[in-house]
Amino acid sequence: MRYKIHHKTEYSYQAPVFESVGEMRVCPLSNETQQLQDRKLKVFPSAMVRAFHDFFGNCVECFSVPFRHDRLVVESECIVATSIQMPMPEQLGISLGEARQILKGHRMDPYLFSRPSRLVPMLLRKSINDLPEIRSQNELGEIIPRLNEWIYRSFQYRPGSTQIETPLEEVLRQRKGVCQDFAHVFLSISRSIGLPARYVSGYIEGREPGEQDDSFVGAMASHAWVEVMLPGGFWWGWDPTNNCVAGERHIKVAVGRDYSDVSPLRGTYRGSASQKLEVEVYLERL
Amino acid sequence: MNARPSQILLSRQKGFETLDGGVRRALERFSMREWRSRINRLNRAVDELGSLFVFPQEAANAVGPIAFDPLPFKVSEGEWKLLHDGVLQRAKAMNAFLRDVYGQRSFLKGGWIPPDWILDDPSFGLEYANLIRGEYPAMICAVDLVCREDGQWRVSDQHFSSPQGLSHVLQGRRLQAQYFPELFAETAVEPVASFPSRLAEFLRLAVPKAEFENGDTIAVMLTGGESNDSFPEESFLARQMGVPLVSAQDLVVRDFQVYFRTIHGMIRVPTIYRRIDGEGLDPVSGNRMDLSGVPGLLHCLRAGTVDMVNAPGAGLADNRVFLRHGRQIIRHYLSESALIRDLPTLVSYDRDQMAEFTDKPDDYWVRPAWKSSLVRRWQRIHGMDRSVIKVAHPKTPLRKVQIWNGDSLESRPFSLRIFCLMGAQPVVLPGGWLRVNNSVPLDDHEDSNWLRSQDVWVQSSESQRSVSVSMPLEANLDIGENPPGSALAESMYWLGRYLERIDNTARMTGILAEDSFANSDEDHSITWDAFMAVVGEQAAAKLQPYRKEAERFAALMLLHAERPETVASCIQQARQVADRAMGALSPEFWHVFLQLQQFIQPYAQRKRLAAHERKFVCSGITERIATIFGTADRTLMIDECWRFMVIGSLLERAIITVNLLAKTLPLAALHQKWHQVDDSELIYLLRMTSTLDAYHRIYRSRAFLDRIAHLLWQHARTPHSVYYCLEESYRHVNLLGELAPDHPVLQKMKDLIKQVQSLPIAELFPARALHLDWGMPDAAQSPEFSATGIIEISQVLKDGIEGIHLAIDSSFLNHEASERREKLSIHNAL
Repeated sequence: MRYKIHHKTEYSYQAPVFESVGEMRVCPLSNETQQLQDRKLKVFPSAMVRAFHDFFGNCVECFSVPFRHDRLVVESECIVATSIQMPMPEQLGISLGEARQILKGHRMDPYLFSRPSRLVPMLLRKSINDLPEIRSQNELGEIIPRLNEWIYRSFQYRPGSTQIETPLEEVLRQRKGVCQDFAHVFLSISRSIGLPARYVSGYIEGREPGEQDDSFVGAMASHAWVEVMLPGGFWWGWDPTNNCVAGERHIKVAVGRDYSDVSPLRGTYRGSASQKLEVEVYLERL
Repeated sequence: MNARPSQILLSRQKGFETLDGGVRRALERFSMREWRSRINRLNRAVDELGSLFVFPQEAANAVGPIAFDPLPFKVSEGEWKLLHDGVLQRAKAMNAFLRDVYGQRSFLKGGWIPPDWILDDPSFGLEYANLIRGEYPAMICAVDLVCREDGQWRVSDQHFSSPQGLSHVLQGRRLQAQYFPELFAETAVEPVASFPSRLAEFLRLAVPKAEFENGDTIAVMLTGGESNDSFPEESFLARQMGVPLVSAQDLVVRDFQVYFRTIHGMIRVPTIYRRIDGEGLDPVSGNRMDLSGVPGLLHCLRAGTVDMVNAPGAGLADNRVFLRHGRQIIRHYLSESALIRDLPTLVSYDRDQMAEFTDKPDDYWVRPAWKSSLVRRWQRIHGMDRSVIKVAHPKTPLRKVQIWNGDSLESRPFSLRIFCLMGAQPVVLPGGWLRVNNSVPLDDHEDSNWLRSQDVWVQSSESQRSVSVSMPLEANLDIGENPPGSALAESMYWLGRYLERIDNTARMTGILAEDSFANSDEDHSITWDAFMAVVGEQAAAKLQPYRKEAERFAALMLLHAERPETVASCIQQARQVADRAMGALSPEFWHVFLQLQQFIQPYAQRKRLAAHERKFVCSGITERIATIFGTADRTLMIDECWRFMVIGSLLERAIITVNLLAKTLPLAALHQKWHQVDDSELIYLLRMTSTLDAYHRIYRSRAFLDRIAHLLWQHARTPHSVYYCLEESYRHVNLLGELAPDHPVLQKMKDLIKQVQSLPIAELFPARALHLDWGMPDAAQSPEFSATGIIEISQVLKDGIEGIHLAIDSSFLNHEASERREKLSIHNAL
């Protein structure tokens, strides 16, 4: 599939602020299943922008606006072609116990993704009483989809029910959240059973052309899902919010340990004004 | 018969014969009296140095300044060669390790360092990956050594983030040479004093040469601030190195370049000597929540426009778990065997190792794996209950040094810190920081209460010495005065403004809270409105109900710190800015300032103040403010920072007078007509600006509106007049340095002064005092007061002063960029 994506982030301030410094993770990745074919980035007020790749390989664009401004707008426009790659059947046939043995290496990556992270603590599986039973003889091809479906069925998708800093324990208690929370719950359980898993931020095409209603949720803003590492080094993408495999309608922007590694725009400004944030994502199949 | 003290010789002391030969021979002739009197003088000198001798990192367990021991520790040439080479080897290997950790991570393949050791470390940050340039991420390094009884040296700690203690080495040598010069008679000792200049040189070498040709640049030392334990050492070193000492708010990032904000503009910074933890560097980059640091600093490091010594994240190498693998690290990166081994180390990551040292606590020295400051920060983030990684070293008998304990000689175990600078031609400081304690000379061990330090002598052969002396150590070092940082100047400016505001608010509150005002039958709405104009619209609305309740009104205005307009709140604000301006304030200033805080403290919870209390508190506050300003003028350096305080206070006073007149004059003009109205309101106005006495001296008449307007707007010798305040602040701004005559601040001030001088008082107040001579005119002929004219002029003055404040802010303090560049969009080719 080929998409044109328009992503606009706008901060407006009650009174002028200055010395805004920020870094953005809004530029889609290029890899085996996805090619970035065109990219435009506009920052208003106009500012010098530099790009680098962070530890995870994400493209980070940074800027600074020294003078007074009452509005900060970042507009990212890109054309991305996606394809899908499925894991090999033999990878899926590996049991969890075997997988743990194979993945227990000394490399920092994927080891980094088996540890708790700032927003994703290691949850005790016993504390979740309705979690489907996971045994070490179960095959990965069975465990991962089951976990994904359990999250989809057990949690309500409810925009506004959580904040970025809502603790995972709270999400588990209230059993509702947004795509970010769904992904964090997945990561926590996956890591706690010994499967390295990482957070993916990106976009999703909500509605097939010609469809009346959205088949996927999460298209109004940045979306989030997860990837689990299979023995052999394949990252298998799953979307617990939509109960599906991450496929051609998922466009990857950045990966990290959790949301805090990949937030689309983080930065600081000087001035005492309060801010208002508006995000607009528009995606068009070409 | 007992010998007199002057006849008892030091050499009779037990243990004297074990002292080093040269030292022993020099001390043989010392009587006990002479010895004690020298030591007394030495101790007095240490006391005077005061906080400079507090252990920085370890201040948490150290009490008071550390003593300096009169006996030097001598290292023989042969032993020094081993220490010299061993420390350099160590520094080289750990530098290679750091490059690897933040780059390729080849060591992980070996499997002997589990990733957890890296990932758990509070100094490690993923955001520092691929950030390190150059061969030596840790340019300034230090290694702690202990010596076993059998003479084998062992590494007990490594300092690759920001080694502390250099000031102790330098000060120690000075004290030693000053109070016991004869000890040097027989020994040629390697000098240590030039080390800071070498360090400054290395900082400059770290910068690509092209940078120097690129206009004015300045290397800076980045400190955590005055409240930090290590600040005294930093200010000492900065002075020795000739680099300015800055904190994060002094630095600002523009277009991926780091600048030092000074009152004379922004100076580009090519090198930063980092003295704060990596984590507090940049609030934008990295996965963290607090906002300390310089936003965008890491972007600049990545862009290569600034160099940092030592690189952020270098603190990882300070982790004591690596003492377990020092030998492997040296072998892995240098293919050499370790010249100096580590103390044998067990780590709590390994269950068996942990069981070993927890089962036999008497056999091990146990301490946290991370430095105490990191442990504290880690626990702040993760909670106190999270157990901290520990390391343990099997107890082993250690070599001891002789110290003078005040009464006799005795021997104590010690730890020796050796410093080095890494580069194409590395330098090891020929000396070190020797610390002595009761039993366990290991940092962060529970028993490591440091007692004293000793000067360390490295014996030099004459040939070596002549080489080091002939080196052009300070050739290209310009130890000039650096311009004051804007952050300090800004704090002083606001300190001046808040102090002035406290004074005015207290005086006005005192007047409004007088019974004669509150209980008067007269309306006095002009006075009340004028006060409200000063404190602001929002506050005025809240205060309105208490207008006739003087006891509550006074308590509210004076004591309620949660409302920004009150005296208590202004005192708090003044305290905050004073804390930030600590570097420019004298102890005498603090003394009187704290007296002000203490003065209102007993009243803090009061809801009402009785009449005599109101009077006492208000006049007490204004008296203390006068004392504070007086003390400032007499005890602070009369430098640019002081001038900013004066300018702040003058501008604040001008603003208050302008605001007061803006509200009063139009109302009074309408009321007054032909001076038939009682003039008590005008008297209040004069008292609120403390110009009643001046008015009487000048006019010897009752209060007339036009005279008041002239006095408070235009008079040249009344301290509260707008003209006086502007003229005086113009004079101080002009003295800030070589400002161009058309400097925006000077220009704005000149313009406003001209406007004030030419205010058309006669037109604005046609019913002038003089007219009374003509008798009572006919009401029909009475000239119209032009309230609108007064309002317009007041607005012009208000805007003018606001403009001056903004110009000061943007020219000297914040250097806010105002020019917008051409619109620019970026296409990102990946």
